Amino acid sequence: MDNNQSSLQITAAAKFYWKASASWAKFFAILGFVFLGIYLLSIFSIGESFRTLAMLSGEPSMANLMEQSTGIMVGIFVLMMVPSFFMYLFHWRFANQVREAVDNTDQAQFTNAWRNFRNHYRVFGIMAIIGVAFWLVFIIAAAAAASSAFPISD
Amino acid sequence: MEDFNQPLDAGLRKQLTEEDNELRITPEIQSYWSESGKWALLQSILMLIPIVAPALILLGISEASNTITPAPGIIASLFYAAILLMPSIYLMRFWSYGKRAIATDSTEDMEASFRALRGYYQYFGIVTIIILSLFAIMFLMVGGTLLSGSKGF
Repeated sequence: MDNNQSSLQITAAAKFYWKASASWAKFFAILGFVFLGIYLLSIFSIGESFRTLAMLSGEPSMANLMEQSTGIMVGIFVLMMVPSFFMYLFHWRFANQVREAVDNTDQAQFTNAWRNFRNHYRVFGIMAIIGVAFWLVFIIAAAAAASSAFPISD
Repeated sequence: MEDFNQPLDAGLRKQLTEEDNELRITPEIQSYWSESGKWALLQSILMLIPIVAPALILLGISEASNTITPAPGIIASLFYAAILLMPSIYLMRFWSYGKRAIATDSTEDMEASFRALRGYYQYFGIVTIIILSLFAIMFLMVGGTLLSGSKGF
């Protein structure tokens, strides 16, 4: 056996677990794409409602401001969706490639599958870290605002 | 000087048997597996926050002021625990068994790691289906109530 090859044996049970994981991964990827589509639709409806509000406000400067901020808001939301899309795409690819690799004993596809699994988790992890950082900033800001508004007294 | 005096398919048979024989966990795949395990560990730790936070926050508030009971926080924690505790444990197992399997070349640990990954997907998938169907039922009930309400007028 080569030096760079591990002696991990691929068992029937391991293959079964991979295929079962792949089925669920596919389910989650499809669910993710569906929700992404719904979010996208709702964002454009938010844009529309913003525009309607801007027209109803009657104030030309206000209407102008809302009109401009609508574009920025929609832009930010769409930008946030890009990593989610790739996260689901990598999950989808992992699901298909693992199934194909196990069914056809395709080593190249097997490697691709785990690369995509890693990529899926990488995008998820980075998004999670950014999300947690935002939450921490939000909580600290809220706590600071609350403590200055309601100073603790006996 | 290169040796031309050999059959055209020299080395091909060896390559074929190596490739068609069985899938292999190559060092490249091991590195993907081990990195995924680390991210999975992060996910499993983050999944514990919604379980711990509601009870802790409401317990803290009720300690400070005796007027509020911590019961809603504890109920919320129990609810999140029912959804997230098992998947979180599965992901931790995926990470720890995977790490051990790579370090010791143990096939049993490899199986345990991927069994845990399957367990995570299965548990979380079934919970997701249940929650989605509850939402669907809620939508139908609200829609039905609205429709029957409008018929009443």
